[in-house]
Amino acid sequence: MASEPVKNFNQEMEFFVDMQRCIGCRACEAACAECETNGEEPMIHVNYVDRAHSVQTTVQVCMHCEDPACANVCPADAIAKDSNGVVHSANTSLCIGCSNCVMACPFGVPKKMEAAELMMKCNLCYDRTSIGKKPMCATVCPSGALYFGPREEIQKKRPHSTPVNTFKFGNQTVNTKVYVMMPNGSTELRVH
Amino acid sequence: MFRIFYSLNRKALINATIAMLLAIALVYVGSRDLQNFDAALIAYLFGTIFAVFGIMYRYSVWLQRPPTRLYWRRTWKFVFSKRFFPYLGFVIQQFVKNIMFQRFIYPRGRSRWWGHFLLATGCMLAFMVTIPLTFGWIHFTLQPGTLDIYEAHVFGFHVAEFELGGFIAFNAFHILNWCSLLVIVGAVLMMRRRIKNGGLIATQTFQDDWMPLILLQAISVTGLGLTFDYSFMQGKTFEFMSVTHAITVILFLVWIPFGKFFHIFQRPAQLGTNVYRKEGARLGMAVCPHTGHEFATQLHVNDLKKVTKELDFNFDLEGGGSHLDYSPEGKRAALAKAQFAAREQQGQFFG
Amino acid sequence: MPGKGLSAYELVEAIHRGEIKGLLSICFNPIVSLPNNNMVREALEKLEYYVAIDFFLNDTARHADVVLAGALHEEEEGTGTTAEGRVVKINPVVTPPGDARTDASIIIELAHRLGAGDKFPYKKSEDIFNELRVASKGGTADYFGITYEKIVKNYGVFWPCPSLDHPGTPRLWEDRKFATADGKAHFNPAPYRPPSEPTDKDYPVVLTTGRVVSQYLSGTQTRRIGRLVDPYPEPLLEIHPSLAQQYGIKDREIVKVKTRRGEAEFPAQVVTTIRKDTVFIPYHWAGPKSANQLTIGTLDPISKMPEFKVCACQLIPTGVQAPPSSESKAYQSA
Ligand code: HEM
Ligand code: SF4
Ligand code: SF4
Repeated sequence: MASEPVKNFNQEMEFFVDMQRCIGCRACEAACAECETNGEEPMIHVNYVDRAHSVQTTVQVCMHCEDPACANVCPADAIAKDSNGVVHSANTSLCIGCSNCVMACPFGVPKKMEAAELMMKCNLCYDRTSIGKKPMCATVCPSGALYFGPREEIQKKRPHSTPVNTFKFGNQTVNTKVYVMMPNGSTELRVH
Repeated sequence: MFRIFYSLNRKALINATIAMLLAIALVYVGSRDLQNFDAALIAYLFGTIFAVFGIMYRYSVWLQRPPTRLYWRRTWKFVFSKRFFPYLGFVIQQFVKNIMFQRFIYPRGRSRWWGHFLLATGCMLAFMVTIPLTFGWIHFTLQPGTLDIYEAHVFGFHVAEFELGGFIAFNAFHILNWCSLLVIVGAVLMMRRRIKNGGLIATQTFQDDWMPLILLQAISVTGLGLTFDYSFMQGKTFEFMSVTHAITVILFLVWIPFGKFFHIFQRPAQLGTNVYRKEGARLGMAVCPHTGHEFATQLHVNDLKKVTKELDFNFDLEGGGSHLDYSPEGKRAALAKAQFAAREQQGQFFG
Repeated sequence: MPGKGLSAYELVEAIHRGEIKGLLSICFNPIVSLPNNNMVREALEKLEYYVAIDFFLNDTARHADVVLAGALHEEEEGTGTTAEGRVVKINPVVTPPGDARTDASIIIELAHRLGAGDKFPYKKSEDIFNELRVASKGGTADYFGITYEKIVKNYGVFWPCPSLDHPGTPRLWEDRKFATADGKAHFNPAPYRPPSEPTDKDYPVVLTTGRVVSQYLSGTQTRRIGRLVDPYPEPLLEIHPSLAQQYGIKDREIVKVKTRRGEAEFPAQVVTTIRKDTVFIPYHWAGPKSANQLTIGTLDPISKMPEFKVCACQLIPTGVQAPPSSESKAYQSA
């Protein structure tokens, strides 16, 4: 099907997210809006988990699923995963703005830009990661909630944590390219 | 991954063959058993017939994907129900706004809309002229006994006549030139974006993104070249222009089903989704159990549960309900809470 | 070095008493940022002549006789000193739009027009910095050894830096000689002083004010940026469910908050993350949404910091649900 740009994607560099470290400063959001692939619209999500009872905030990037639900439910074939495992934002000429992906993504990632009738989502700062740079958000996060780099490095920094990329949503198991930091010994994160 | 059927698809093959035969039949009938058919356009005709086959094939394959099939069925069922009538005005308005004028591209960028509007309008106008011409549905003859009155025939019936050199004649014979100009300006605007925009530069490919624009430019420039040649150059480059024009147009036609241009046939689905949302809202909205706010139509949530199951996803929860009952924000919060709980249990949030 | 003057709030009080009649301010928005701002407004109205310099027309500048368009720090050359004591160079990357000019050039021209040009003979920003070097010589924060050239070359120089060949002091007191009379570090225990306005039966609830993440100070800059307005478009009254229940207040119900100095209405945000006896309102907004209409102007005797964090208030539920937060309110001024 679609061909893809030839790039120097550095597979040694991986994404590790520890959302409970998020302090809600929205620096990542401002940085995300600088990413050239989404033209001034931030694609990262920062929100309160349950403001009535806690000040906890969470941050969510696209997890770049191995078998992306978003792409599967897209009636327009607008979402493509490339050979680097990056799941791209909707193809602008194909997306019909149906929001299937917005609602099927188990991580709540894609955004529907209503006026433009177009879905947009995090594409791992493809303009940057495809030339070996880090995504914008990970370069500014002050709390270490977003970390992009070699696995040995994060392992050294966080000896009590294990990166996990298997998630359970009820009966569904989802494997992803992006990791979430979990207590040592964990093999999965059961959401429900 | 995308459960698309790469191997030959029987159903699609049948649909495509029927469509192709239908097109050929229409050529016969429309051109009165080929007597009005312009033999000079034979190569174009073959290209078009192939395009009909290819487009129908891809369309049929496309419609077999569970989410597309669901929308397709929902749309037609709705169209033939009596509840559809109140939406007629809405559909017409959407068609004018979103298909004819592609208004929704404007919020993406001003020159982005201008560029696309010009190239799409140029192209669609050109189709409206060239397809009937190629199929022999329209042809022109000189009125018997005169030298300057032209007659236009549609399906072999005389429909109009106009004076050679008059205003109508001028525009009728030059309409394709106007189309070419629109396409050239539009494609230049689109090319400029692809040269200047860092995001596009990072994600574009030659085959998927530059080829269509280059092809459109080539068609339009050689098309204009034909007129330029016989108006000003006494036909010195006619051979070259007509051959390259034919080649580029045929490439374009043959390539429609495979590349970016297929979106021309996919876009009308956008009307369907807008009606679907409106009708869904009338039936009732879904409320997220986490945020307590409405976030989508209940019809959509229910349909997605079905579609995801067909696609081998199962988001059902043990205690009943589904992960899909949650809004995107609710889903993110659920994940955050689960991760926090795991960390809390470990007793070590950091390190 | 000039001697010690009045702190910001004392200055406004002196204006109110009629002791000060003219004011020139730079990036000063006391009508949003200072407590008991109804008094602040009265003071501003008493001024005989007021000139405000700011990069955007702030809420206070509406009371000015003359407003001069100044510059953002992206538009002006100079230095800044970070919280760790590192003096860094700031370079202009854009020029001020229209007739706006750098703050320094405004002050210098004013001085010339007022006949004090000889005291402001500066040709460039470095001349001003050099005066600071001389003025701070021998002090605790000694800048004498810091030059523009050194700052640029070393990516910043830490004070104290007493001489040109001194490398600067990245970490203070490593020599364990402190800048006190006996050279030892002193702990200064602060005796507890109750708030100047304790709660009573008329004003039974503690009101505290503060900030939200997406806004900065009096909002002159941040209330103009859509993406910063969106996450928190208008001030909300944070209140604990048990206190809310006591008054029958529901989430997003508009509540009138009244103190001895003023009153204003805010939508309630019922959360368990606040004390049961206290309500919180962020202060970044102006006009009817300003929390500082309510706060008290008592100052800490040593730091002169106003008691923003505690005063007594009354809550009066209105029974009206607030409409969805409106972004346009953020721009609204007095
Ligand atoms: C014959 C007619 C058409 C032609 C030749 C055509 C051609 C193109 C081309 C070449 C592009 C890619 C531009 C680029 O990014 O470089 C494009 C994009 C697009 N087309 Fe068309 N198109 C046609 C009709 C339509 C119609 C009728 C619609 C909508 C109802 C449509 C919707 C779109 C959309 C949404 C995009 C993406 C634009 C963007 O986001 O930048 N097209 N089209
Ligand atoms: S996280 Fe969501 S948006 Fe990202 S690839 Fe997976 S399903 Fe798609
Ligand atoms: S919104 Fe666009 S990308 Fe998402 S599923 Fe619908 S058509 Fe596909």
